[in-house]
Amino acid sequence: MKKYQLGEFEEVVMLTVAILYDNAYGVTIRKEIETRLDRGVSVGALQAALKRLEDKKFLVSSDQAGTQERAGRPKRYFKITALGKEAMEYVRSTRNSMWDAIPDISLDVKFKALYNA
Amino acid sequence: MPNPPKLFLKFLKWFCNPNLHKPIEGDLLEFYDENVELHGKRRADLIFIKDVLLLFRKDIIKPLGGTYSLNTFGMLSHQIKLAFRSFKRFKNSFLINILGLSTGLTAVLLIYLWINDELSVDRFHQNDKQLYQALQNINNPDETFTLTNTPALLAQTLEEELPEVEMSASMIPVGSYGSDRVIQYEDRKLKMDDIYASEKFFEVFSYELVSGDTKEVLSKKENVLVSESFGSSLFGETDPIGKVVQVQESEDTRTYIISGVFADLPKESSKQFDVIFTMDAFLDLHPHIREWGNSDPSTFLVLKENTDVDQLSSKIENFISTKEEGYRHTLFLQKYSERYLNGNYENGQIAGGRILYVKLFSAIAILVLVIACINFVNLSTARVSRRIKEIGVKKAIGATRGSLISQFIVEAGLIISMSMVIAVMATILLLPSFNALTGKSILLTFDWSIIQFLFIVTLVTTILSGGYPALYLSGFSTLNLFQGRVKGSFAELWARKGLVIFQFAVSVVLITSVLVVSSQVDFILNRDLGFQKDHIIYFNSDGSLQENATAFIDELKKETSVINAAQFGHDLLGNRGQTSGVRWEGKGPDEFVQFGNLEIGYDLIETFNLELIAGRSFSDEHGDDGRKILFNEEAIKVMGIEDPIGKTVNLWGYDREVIGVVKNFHFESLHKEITPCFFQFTNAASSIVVRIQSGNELRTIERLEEIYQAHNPGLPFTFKFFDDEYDALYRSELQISTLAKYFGAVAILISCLGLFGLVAFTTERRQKEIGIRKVLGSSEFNLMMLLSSDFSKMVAIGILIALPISYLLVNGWLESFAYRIDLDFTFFLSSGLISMGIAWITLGFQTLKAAKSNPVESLRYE
Repeated sequence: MKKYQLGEFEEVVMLTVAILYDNAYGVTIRKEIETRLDRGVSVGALQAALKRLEDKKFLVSSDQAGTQERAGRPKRYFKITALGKEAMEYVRSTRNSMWDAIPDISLDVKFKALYNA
Repeated sequence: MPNPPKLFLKFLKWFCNPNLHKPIEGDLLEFYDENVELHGKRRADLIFIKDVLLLFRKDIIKPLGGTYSLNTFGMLSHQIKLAFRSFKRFKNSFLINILGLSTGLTAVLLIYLWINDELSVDRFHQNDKQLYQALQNINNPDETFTLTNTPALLAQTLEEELPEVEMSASMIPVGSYGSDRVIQYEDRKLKMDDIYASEKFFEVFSYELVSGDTKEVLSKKENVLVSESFGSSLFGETDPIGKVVQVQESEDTRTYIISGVFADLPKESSKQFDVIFTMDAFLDLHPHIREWGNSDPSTFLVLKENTDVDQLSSKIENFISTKEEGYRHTLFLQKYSERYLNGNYENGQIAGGRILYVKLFSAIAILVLVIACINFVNLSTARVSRRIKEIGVKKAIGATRGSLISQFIVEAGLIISMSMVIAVMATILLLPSFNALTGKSILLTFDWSIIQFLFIVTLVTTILSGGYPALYLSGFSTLNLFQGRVKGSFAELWARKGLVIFQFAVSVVLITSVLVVSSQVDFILNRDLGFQKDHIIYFNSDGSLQENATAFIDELKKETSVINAAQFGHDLLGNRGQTSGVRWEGKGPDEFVQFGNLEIGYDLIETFNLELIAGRSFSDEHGDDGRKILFNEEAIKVMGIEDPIGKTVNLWGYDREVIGVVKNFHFESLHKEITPCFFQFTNAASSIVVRIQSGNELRTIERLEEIYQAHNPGLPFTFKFFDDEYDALYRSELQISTLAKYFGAVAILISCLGLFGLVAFTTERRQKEIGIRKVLGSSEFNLMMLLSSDFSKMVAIGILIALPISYLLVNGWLESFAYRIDLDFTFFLSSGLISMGIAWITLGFQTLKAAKSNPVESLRYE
């Protein structure tokens, strides 16, 4: 149970890395999140999350030689590990099972309004 | 292409985990370039800076430990870990070190607090740096005496005539004109400790005024001030200001008005008083003091800054003779706050005082600490063979000498810090008893100065005890270490032996001193003084007792529990009058003899059980009065009168008939020899002495109080036990002797701990040798002798060195007593035997264990 601990932002990062497949490095991940979720992401928050996920063995990284525009700095690409996949699936299935457990009536906003009145 | 701000790139590089640094920097640069195109350089710079700052967070910053450039931290934690492991492995020496060092540090801490307290006395005055007291030297042909009394006009005149003097105050100290004087408000009467002080008293001294104006409170003759607590016991809840109080002066009752209240005096003040009258009131009562020829008040001067005090002191040396022709006493200045510690004068020179004890205890503190450090040094260097491999491996894989040194220093520092923590706790626990012993009220407050002190002591102790072992242990060559060739050189062995010898020498000096001091103090307290000091109480002839003392005493004598009672103008405690005004037949014109002047009533000789060797004492039946006189043996001897009874001598111009001779007795401190004295008759003495029966003192005292109250309604009955007061004369000797006992015990304890550790170690090292010897038929006794002979030799040498030193020390101290014990050989013999004995017990404990061990145990593994 504990080993699948995944925060909300961490989950977003994992999903983004998965979406980007083999083009997932700092710059692209950040842009992807910003465009898809329409929210600003600081480099610090992103890098910290990536580091944590790597420490948890949900991600692996590999460096590739840098391009001219990066002043020769390497790009660090991230990939989902098997463990990472398990974690994502675990999170998804728990979410789903929770969604399934919601009785229809509790989300019936009309009824709720009536009930409150 | 524009570049992002360099400073922030550098900052990033500085804090960022090097694993992450390059890709992150790459990402940032990519964003930067994009932002420059989108928003321009300025905006891009700002975004860059913001990103860098937001990167400064837990997961990105490089870790403190590890193998990165903050290596020192990693090394330190490694060293601390190793230190704890070595404590665990060598539990014995760890415990011995902790025990020795914490005991030593506790002693040091207590002594520091005591010394600090001594040094703080009288230093709280704001003018402290410029505050001086003028003292007078009386230059007699054979000896110069120093007086604190000066003419009353001196302070004011010096202030007016000398530009160097900024302010002045004069003061009559407590008790100069009779102690326990009584102040009355309405019906309430209280005894007071009063002083008379001149107008600028509160400007010169920084005693705090609770109400009243600094410049005004002593300006009018009838003004009087009380302390806060005295005021509340005299006036209760009501405001004292403006209240009218009465004081009985010798003939008439004077009225004073409370003009101010001062805060209770801090304990750092050497002068303690609770009521202040004005100097003008004093001069009114004693007009003759106004003359230059008479000295009474103390004179205090606040000098202007940058005054050359020595020069001023010699400038005013003959100041009084310019006012009073033929005046031969000379003046000199002493800093006021220094008088508490340097209050003794010899031949007109300042000759120490309590500063002696301060120095003595500083020396003891240092010695005790050094002894504890020596233990540490000895144990860690002796242990070297056990750590060869550790050091060897470290050296082989590239440890520098510096890092080895720092490891041993860290180890020492750790032990010492732990000992310091224990010592601080022990000090807090011991302080109440220490205060009771020294009569102080010291508190351990963690202010800046004490923290500094603790830090410095920890540091110094670490360097003292860790320094040599660190240099020694790290100095071996790697090759020698692995071959096990670290046999200490001859010099090193001797260094260790020398340290043990030193420890025991110090211990023996301390033990000898303790023995001598305590037997001298015993000698004083139990000496046959020539009178009986037990079961005597005394009190002042207050109030109406001054007129009808005789009736009062007669009433007392009717009580069965009262053995005897008499009036007395002296207390046999050193406070006495002295005169040279005795003339007798055959006295040479230049002969100058000081006589002690004791004024007594009927039955005093009997009350104190003084022994008469000729004649009789004053007696009612003979109707004796001021025309009769008694002498002590010494006086008769000095005057050379044979068969003195019935002879006539002249006192202050009046003829007196000698009616008795009293056997010599000690009428002042045993620091002084018995001098000539005489008894003259009085029926209005300052105090009353009562000898009571033993056994029922409480009841008797209650009864005395009833009679006293009948004569002095409303006046509190305060009395003193004579033997308590007598013992108090030697309080500082008693305190020093008890303190010395404790610290001596601490020193020998720590020395023995060290010895214990060393012996334990060597016997452990020689286990196999012992086993083989036993197998070959050595007896247990032989083995013990073998193991302890080396150490016995060291201890013996220590003792031999210590004896002459301790002889010189205690002899010097004893010379300050006129009546002292003989310094015979037994003191040195017994202190030598004591330390030898303790050392042998320590040795025997370990060697017996080693000798008794089954050789199988030690030889099995071969």
